[in-house]
Amino acid sequence: MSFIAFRDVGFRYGEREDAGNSILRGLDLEIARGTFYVLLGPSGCGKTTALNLLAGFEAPRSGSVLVEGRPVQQPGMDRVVIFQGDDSLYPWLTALENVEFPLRMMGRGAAERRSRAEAWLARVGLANHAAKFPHQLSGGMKQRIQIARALVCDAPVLLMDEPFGALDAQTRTILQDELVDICAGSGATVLFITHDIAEAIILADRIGVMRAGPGSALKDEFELDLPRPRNRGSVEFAAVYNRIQRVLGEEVQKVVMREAAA
Amino acid sequence: MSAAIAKLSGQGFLHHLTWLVLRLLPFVGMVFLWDFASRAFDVPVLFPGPLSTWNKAVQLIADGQLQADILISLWRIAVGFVLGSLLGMTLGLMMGLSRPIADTLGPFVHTLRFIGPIAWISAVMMWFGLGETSKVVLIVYTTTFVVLISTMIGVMTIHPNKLRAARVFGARGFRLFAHVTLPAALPHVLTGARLAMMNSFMTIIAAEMVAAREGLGFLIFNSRQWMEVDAIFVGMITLGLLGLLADRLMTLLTRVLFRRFRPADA
Repeated sequence: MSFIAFRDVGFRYGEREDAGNSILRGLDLEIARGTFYVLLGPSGCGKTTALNLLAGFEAPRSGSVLVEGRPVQQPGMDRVVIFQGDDSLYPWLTALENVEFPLRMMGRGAAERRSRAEAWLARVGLANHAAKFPHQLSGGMKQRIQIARALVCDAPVLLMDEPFGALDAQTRTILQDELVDICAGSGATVLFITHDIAEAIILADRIGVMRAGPGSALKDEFELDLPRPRNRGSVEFAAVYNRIQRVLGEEVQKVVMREAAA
Repeated sequence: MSAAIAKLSGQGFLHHLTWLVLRLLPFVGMVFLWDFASRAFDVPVLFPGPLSTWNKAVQLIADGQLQADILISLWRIAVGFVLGSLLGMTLGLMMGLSRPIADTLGPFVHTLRFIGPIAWISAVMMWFGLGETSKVVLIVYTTTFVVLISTMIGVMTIHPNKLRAARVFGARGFRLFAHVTLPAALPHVLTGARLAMMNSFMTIIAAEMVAAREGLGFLIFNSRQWMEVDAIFVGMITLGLLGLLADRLMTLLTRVLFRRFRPADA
């Protein structure tokens, strides 16, 4: 039994199934405990929907989403989410208070909250910005707050929905490398959504490529055993990149063709 | 101490002076324009200039009448505004949080808010008489809808990821409301309250004109009978200055009490 499993999962908006409203159809996906799993796919293919199902924000129309054999019922502290963009941060709380928020919801005491939150803020390089409010910080710093807020929970599963998608290329590269450091040895199982192949190769133990929607499912999977930290300029990196590009490129092409025809 | 002195001397002092002069300039311009228009009109009784209006103001203050009118009008506004804001916030939160409540009350609220407080004056006077109750009821009425609508919009426009994140961290029910929904909607509530303050000023004048024995509205309306246009001007200018004061005071209070939730400063 795998740690996380999508079994023949279907999802659509609206009651009746018609031509275009099916997002996922027959999605089968398994993630072993401790794996950093990256889900790649063309835009609109339903990657985020898959993450929302595992987070418990949505319920599947058919099939089942299982964690340790039990179906996901609702959002919970065992599956913490890092969202794209900064809308999930609380602008009336300082960086430190944002990181304390999950602990406050757990009912932890003030002293424990503060020391754990401070430790994680320091870990993501924000020790000197603890008293600042989110609007006083850059996009990259705000994503660091989110990372700290998620990891302070010690959750066994981390769900990341294109967390670096809105950042500039330089900041994104730095945060990718830091995320590798942070996750190494944490033992957490990660589902990471992106459409950036290079990002996937830097981070992943295993990469799943999804088909273009509607009615998307997994097309192909790649096991990555390159040693970390991975070098973006290495020959091995380029070879993996090309293999994935061939598989993903076909799907992106489908999306482009369909958009041109519409 | 030395910092304060440094601030008041040299560049700091000049800066503050410029700040003040710029803000007073439109007022001074208006006084000159007013004086010119009054002379051109050439019937001082019907259109008194700034100087005779000032003299009237001094006289009204010496009699103690202006202070009395100001106090009674402000008291009516304050009571009605606080009650109306609380009522509007409560209803707005309920409608923003619950789709069934919004669907049930929505059309009713949107109909009622177009029956302005002035349309209610006649009926309210007959029910509650000429005393304080009728004025306070009207201020409550006019405040409630503005605060209600902006609170409801504030709740409805909370980004879903704020609520999703909180649910991930185990917040449900009242904790979700107290820790996320309420603070996220608060800037909208405060903006609504600020707009409602302006409505309160309009409503109190109308109500006091129709049925009152004191207050700024009464001063403005009653002076017509004695052809005291200068007293009318005193009432109008007082109203504007009180409004400015109330608005500044609310902005200041918001900044001090709700520093974290600052609505758009202005």
